[in-house]
Amino acid sequence: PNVKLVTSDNEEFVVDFRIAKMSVTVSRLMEAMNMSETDDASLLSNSIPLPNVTKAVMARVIEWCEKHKNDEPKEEKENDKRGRTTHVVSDWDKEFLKNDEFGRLCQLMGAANYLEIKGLFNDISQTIANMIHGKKSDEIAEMFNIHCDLTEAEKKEIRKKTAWCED
Amino acid sequence: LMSNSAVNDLIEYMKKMEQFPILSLPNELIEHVFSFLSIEDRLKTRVNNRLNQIELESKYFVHSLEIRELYGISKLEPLSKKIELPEDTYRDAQKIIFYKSNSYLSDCIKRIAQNTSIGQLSIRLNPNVSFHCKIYNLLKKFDIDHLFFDIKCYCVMENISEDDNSFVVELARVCKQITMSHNSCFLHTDENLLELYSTMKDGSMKLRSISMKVSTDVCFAFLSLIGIEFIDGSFYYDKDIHAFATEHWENGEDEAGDSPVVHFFNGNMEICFVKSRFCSVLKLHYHETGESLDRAKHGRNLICMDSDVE
Repeated sequence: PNVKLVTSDNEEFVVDFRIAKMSVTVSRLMEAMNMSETDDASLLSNSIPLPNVTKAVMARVIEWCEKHKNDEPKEEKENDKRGRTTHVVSDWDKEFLKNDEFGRLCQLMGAANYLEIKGLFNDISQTIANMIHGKKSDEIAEMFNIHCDLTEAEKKEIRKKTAWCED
Repeated sequence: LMSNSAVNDLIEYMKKMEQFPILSLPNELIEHVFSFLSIEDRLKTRVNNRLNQIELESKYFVHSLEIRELYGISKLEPLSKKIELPEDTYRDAQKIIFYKSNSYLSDCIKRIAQNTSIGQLSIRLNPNVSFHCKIYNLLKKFDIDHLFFDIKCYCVMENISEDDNSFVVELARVCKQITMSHNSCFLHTDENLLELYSTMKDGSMKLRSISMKVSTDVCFAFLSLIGIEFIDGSFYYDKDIHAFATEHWENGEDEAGDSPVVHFFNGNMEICFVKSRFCSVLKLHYHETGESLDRAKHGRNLICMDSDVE
């Protein structure tokens, strides 16, 4: 059975029920609208509005979900007090995210968060974390193209506190 | 209508917004990214006010952290990166290694203490009294499960704390377990051991277990303060105290060369004393349950010495 998803720019995506279920948000909406896998009429007569996701981003999300629809549900180590979150980004996922500009990556992250697709969300978070890892402060600022709004005194203060890790 | 240059400015601005979208993410998503970073990377990511604020406000847990001072090495030496570091206290710990005691480091530690809680923290410092004082006073701001403490010091530093309490008592508030290496054996006096013992005994402290090297004289003085006297090779103690020892206690070392160990029990407290000639090991342990207490008394092939009581 198929489910209709409608993006903010009014594009309709028709996806497999299983794909739709991968998003906790969509899954919850379907439940609220009494849509069920065994009730074709309920699926045909309804569509799920997703006002926070654009067509371009949705296409990427669906591509990711297609690839991962058969994944075993896995236990992620959470950050509840067990330490730094770690997440292994699979080779396919690395390749999938490799060519995304930083801006697109952030949009995708926003969508994964809104749709509650944990695997994708953590993939992107880990990818961004990897981009940050090992860089110096000014390299990070440059990479993210962040305008520094700190005063000289604040900058000095921050440098002091990271003196042990700056070369 | 907008002038051409204003339109151009706007286009430029929009292009730029495209390019730094990390700031377009809501704080909790940035925080989530931060949760994947090491302390070092986190601190370096504070490149503007908002990121600085997010970093500070997100509490995080560090599994294990090692803060270590290297001795006799200048940071400027080009080969310094290749120096073989002494063995790590923990496997896979995050490390802060520095070359010279300085105020920068204490600022950094202070910042880390503000929003972390730490599983295992290992601190290894070289002698430098004023710097140690700073670090001790910073440790109070942490939230630590297990503190491993290896500080080379050669003088008694009972009054290093800013408050009236001795610093071990201060640490007892923030650490669940403390291990102090033999290098720190000058840190204790019998009075501050008594203070520590008394505050641990009612169970209100976070501290449950501490192991430290203490000069043997100070150990005996402390034991005497809590009603345990050592006279002519035997212990004499109040009747609410119970003692269990290894078999060869009287003969000094046993055949295997292990030091003799005596365990005293008073209420929920266990005082374990491993006697050596000059510097002994003293362990204080607060047992939270009766089962744990029973196991400590009867689960280790110890011989009850209570018949010695006169």
